[in-house]
Amino acid sequence: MNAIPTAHAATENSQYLTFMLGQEEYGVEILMVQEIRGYTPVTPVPNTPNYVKGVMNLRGTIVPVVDLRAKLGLAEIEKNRFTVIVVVKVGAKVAGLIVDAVSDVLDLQESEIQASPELGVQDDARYARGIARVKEKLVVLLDLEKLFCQGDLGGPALAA
Amino acid sequence: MKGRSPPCAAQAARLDALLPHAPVNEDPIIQAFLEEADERLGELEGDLLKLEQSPSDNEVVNRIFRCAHTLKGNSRMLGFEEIARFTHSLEDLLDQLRKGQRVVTPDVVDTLLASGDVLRNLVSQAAGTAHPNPDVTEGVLHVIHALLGRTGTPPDAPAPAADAGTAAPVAPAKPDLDEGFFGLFEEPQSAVARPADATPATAAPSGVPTRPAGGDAAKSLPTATRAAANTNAGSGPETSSIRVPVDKVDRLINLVGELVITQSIIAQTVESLQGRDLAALEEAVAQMDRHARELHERVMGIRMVPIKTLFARFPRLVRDLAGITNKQVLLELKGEDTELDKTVIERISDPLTHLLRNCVDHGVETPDVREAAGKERVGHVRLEAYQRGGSIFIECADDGKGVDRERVRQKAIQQGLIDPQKQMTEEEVLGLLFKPGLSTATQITEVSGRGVGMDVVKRNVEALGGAILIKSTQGKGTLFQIKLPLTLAIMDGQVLRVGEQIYIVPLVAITESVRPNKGSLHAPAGVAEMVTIRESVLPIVRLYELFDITPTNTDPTQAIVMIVENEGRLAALMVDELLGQQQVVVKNLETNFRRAEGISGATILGDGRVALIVDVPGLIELARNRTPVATY
Repeated sequence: MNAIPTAHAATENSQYLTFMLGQEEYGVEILMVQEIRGYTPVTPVPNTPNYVKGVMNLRGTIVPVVDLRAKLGLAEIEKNRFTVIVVVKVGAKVAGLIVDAVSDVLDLQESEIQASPELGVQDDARYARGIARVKEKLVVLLDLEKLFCQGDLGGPALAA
Repeated sequence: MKGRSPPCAAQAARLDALLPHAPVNEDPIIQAFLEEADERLGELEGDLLKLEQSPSDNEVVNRIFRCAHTLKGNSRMLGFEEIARFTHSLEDLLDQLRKGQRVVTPDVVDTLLASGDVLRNLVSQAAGTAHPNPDVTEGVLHVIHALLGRTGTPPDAPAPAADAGTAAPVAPAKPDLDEGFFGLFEEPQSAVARPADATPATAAPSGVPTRPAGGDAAKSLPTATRAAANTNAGSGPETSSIRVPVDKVDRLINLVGELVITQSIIAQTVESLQGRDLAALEEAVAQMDRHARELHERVMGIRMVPIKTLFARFPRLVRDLAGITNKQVLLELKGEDTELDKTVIERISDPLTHLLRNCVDHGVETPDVREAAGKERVGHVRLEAYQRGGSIFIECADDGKGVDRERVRQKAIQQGLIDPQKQMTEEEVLGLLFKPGLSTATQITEVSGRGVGMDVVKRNVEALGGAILIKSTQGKGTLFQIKLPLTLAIMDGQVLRVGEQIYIVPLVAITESVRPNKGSLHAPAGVAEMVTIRESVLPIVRLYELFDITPTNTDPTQAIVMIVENEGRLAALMVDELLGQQQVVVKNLETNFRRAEGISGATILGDGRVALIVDVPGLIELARNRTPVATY
């Protein structure tokens, strides 16, 4: 039988874009990634949380840029030539994430993803939708909707 | 098989979840029909009002007939049976007019206008935005059938549906109506609100036809002056157009804006280049610059719409209002081809409607009062749009009784809005009209007098970046003047620098900019620091403190203070340097982000960087909250 692919079947196998923050590797679903850009200075916006570095011009639209290190409670580092902005689309809104460097695209089966451990992890466990073990390394898969759910980007559009 | 298509399916599933709920009628054909029907009904109404002025104009009758006919065909094709059934009856009536078997009388026009309302309701129902109103529909149908049941002469009894609970104004016929009163109004490009009582006394002489009348029925009517109304531009050839969703246009505007920026980057790079063939390259870049700029201008122009689309609905409004208030009002529209941004047009509609209501209800007197005051029985209301510089002006004026300043003052004192002892200039008294809660109408009428409105009008106009002004001479009339920016998308801004950051302040908010000298600064303990500029003492607002950035100067005598105004209060905004003035394209911060205090939006500079636009009222508010004892 030629099974019609269903949404369920689809979630069994997904692609993730992974990137580095310090020594750790993180991943986001590739379908949410719009593009990857080299880091260029952004325009700071007053009276916003410290992890919102400012706004940038994405082909005529104003897009907020979040420093993922600051958002996850990691120490901020100097931007260098590997620093990139990963442009993601969450719901109807577009945002940029500053990460140390992009790393890889992973093909993951749902079975390869484990729930993140309850104890002994950093602050970022709140935003993890799971952990994947790939060969010898661990990749923390971020849940972007949770990451932006506290009104960081404003509006209930991201609260779902 | 499994596993080959998942990425695709996953994408589809996700997209599905992201999409908003589909509208009631997503079928593009039906959507197109509904939009077109809406437009046609607008035209229909305009034509009906023209018909009222010039009942003998066959061209107008034909246009109305064609409009109804198209609507009937389209709705039948798409299965909107009720619309088809209704237009069919309407067509029968129109056919009689067309063939000259029936003359155009006021009650025919009333019935036709009511039919337009019914059709609008039916179309809204089809779009799922209105509830069925079968009583009204049947009532109007009944009137049409009653008219059809008789022959050509005007009926001499009230239309049967007038008491059937119809919301539509189906006025009873007036047997003694002197049809000559149509000849009263000689001005072209104007719409006539049918007076409640005809007054042959002031009627213009009629009888000498100025143009050949077409059709038998028309010949039986005096055509002396009404023909003048036909010469107006409205009946000119229609311009062809296509329908494009606004978001497509906006995306185009964004892209072209980017192109202009990229182009200027290339131009800058070329300037710094050296070597052979440079002249040719410079020439090419200069040419591209011209093209890019023109393209930009043209694309921006797509959003501009003639104000005609908005003005077109007012003759009907004034006509109905005049009927309700028993007045005779002539509405004169001018400058209908003035173009405004589509969004501005949409948002100025309510304020203008309100001003017109005011003119008719409060301004224009009843015919007898006017006559006693030595004026024409017919009141004139003028609605005019024109462009001057970078602004659009819309004026709404009447020749009515004007504002009774003393009564406004008394009313304001009564309602505790002002101190009875206070001396006020005439302008200040007129300004009270924009205060919430003030209404001078002695009676609450159906039209106005509830004390809501003028303050809302002012707020709406200001929200569009505009201003409203009132001038009034007692006994002579009142003029409202609205000043609006050409487009919401572009603003005149002062570019300035604080530390390393570039900001834009709207030019309209700035009174002047100065570098204060030492003697003009005061820092009394316990209150905000002040600067004296000429006679006024103003609080200093340090932009770098509110925005938490490192400035070049913390000493005001080394910096610049910009005198900014918000609701009559002045403040001195301290910045490092003024960089120049330019028009900026305003971008919304909330599209992808959220509101930030003290910021109203952003723009993209020539080098591609983002600069934030300062929200002056918000900033003053912010400063006031941070300095508890400030005396702003």
